[in-house]
Amino acid sequence: MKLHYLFLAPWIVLVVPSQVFLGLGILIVLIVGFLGLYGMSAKKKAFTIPASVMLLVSFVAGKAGTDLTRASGPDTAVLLLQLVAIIFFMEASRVVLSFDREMGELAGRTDDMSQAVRGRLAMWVAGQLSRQARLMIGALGLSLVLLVLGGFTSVSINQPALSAILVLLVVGALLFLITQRREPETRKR
Amino acid sequence: MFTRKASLYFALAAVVLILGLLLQDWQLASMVLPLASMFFLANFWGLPETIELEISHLVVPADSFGDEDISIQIVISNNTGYQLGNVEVDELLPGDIKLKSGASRVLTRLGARENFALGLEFRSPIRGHYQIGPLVARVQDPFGFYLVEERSEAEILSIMPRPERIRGAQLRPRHLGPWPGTIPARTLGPGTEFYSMRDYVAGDDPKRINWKTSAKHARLIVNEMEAERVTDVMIVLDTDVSYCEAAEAELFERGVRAAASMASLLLRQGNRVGMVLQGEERGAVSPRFGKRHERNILFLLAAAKPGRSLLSTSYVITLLARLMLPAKAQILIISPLLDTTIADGIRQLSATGYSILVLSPLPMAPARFNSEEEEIAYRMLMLGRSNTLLALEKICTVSQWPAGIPLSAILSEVRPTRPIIRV
Repeated sequence: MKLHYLFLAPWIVLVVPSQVFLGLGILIVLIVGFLGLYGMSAKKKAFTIPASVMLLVSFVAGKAGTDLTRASGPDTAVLLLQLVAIIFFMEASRVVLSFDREMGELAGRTDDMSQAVRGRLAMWVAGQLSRQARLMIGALGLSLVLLVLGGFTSVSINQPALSAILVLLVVGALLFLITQRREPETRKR
Repeated sequence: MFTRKASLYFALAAVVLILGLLLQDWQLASMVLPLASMFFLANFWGLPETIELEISHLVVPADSFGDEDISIQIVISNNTGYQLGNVEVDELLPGDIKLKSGASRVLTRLGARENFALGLEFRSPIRGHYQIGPLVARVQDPFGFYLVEERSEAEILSIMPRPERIRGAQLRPRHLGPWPGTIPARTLGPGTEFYSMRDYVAGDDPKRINWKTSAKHARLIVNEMEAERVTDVMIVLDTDVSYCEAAEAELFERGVRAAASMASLLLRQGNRVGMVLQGEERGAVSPRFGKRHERNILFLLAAAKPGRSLLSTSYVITLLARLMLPAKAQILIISPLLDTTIADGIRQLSATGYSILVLSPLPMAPARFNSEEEEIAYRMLMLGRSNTLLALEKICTVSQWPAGIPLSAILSEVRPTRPIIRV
């Protein structure tokens, strides 16, 4: 889990044609890899979050750049898998870092209360990672099913009016999915 | 509720969608699908819609004299019929509290209808009031898109100064209460000290007959005792100890200990005791009786911090004495007398008939001075203090308390300056 930037960064960045990143693909891989690995080993979210965001930006920019340069892009399923992998590892690394931080707080304490907290933490991290993995696999499966279903309906997105309606529909659906049964956050500090 | 993180993912989905449509790339636009699926799954399977959590925390003991470990017992109950996989329990503790066992922040999962008890322990911090909590429990879905938060009120942990067992000083206020106490009342009544003799009358207790004198005068003569009563005392703790940073803390804590010990002693003797904190942080407790009131006074002293007051000490003590005390009652001022204006207030109080005892913790000379100017400043301050002492000795009882000498020894030597008037 702590080394995922080593394979994720080359997989996301190096599959994009080199002219999209102006030949700086290797540099981006090195920066993301360094930030991510350092953040994970030093247990600092301040480094892992920028690394993950850079990966996400590289993914979106890479795809947009591929379109602009009219280069050939990867298969849609591969793209979906890449996005899901980026999000899963980003979320999982946050869980692992939280676990490491809490374990660090308990370092050197051997009393019963601390042992009980350690046991709870171990349960929590295992449960969190497995639930995240299940939800991500579910999201990938659902996306593929929707993609196949969408393929049967031959909607053209070349017409501006239709595109605008499509955007509105998708944004509305997203808003519904986010806000259904939930209120905005009002967390106090 | 949905979190900021959910909003950021929504923004990402919107960007991907708009880019896809602008570039007319359905592949890019379809990247919105996994994000929408994530929202859908996290919303409907990640977290139940209604969550009933009960949280409570208890600080044991809630007040202490600082010589025992403090524990916090936290209980969280999941009253919903679903498992909650991502629960964060956060007890907010002041930065100067270092935990000995347990953890103030716990990440856990809670089974359906599970009660989770968590304990944490720390060594008692130094004197003061500490806010423990609020205790916050946050329940989130695996991705942190949705959040339910429960809070319980913060508790106050009070570390009070421990009163020392001291012997009393001779207090002779003119105002005395009607209840029996330890202060000689200069009148006949039940007491322990001999007062006078008179002829025996029918009904007198035979135990009081002075047989030696009766034999001498060939008639029965009985002893009469001096009544002992309670009084009203106001203790004023002057927290202005600014003279040399290195030695201020010791001087201040000595004053706080003396105030706590005197209050405890006077309350044990049955007197009504009030307390005034005069300094940067002010506070007052009206005179009352009893053990519970001792707690109130110690609670006030727990919050005492050194610092110079914006209001003149002289003004504050004269005002509060008149508001809180009956005329001619006893005032005990604990002050290092570094503020020379205090003498005016004491003079005014003395003139109106209050009995005043000034207990002055003697500032220790610093081990070394950083500069010649600092040494001169110290000498000037001590000279001013000597002048104040001289002025006060003429109007009230003043007792200096050097460091390292028990307070009892100082108080046993206190003699009231005002002559005792026998009635």
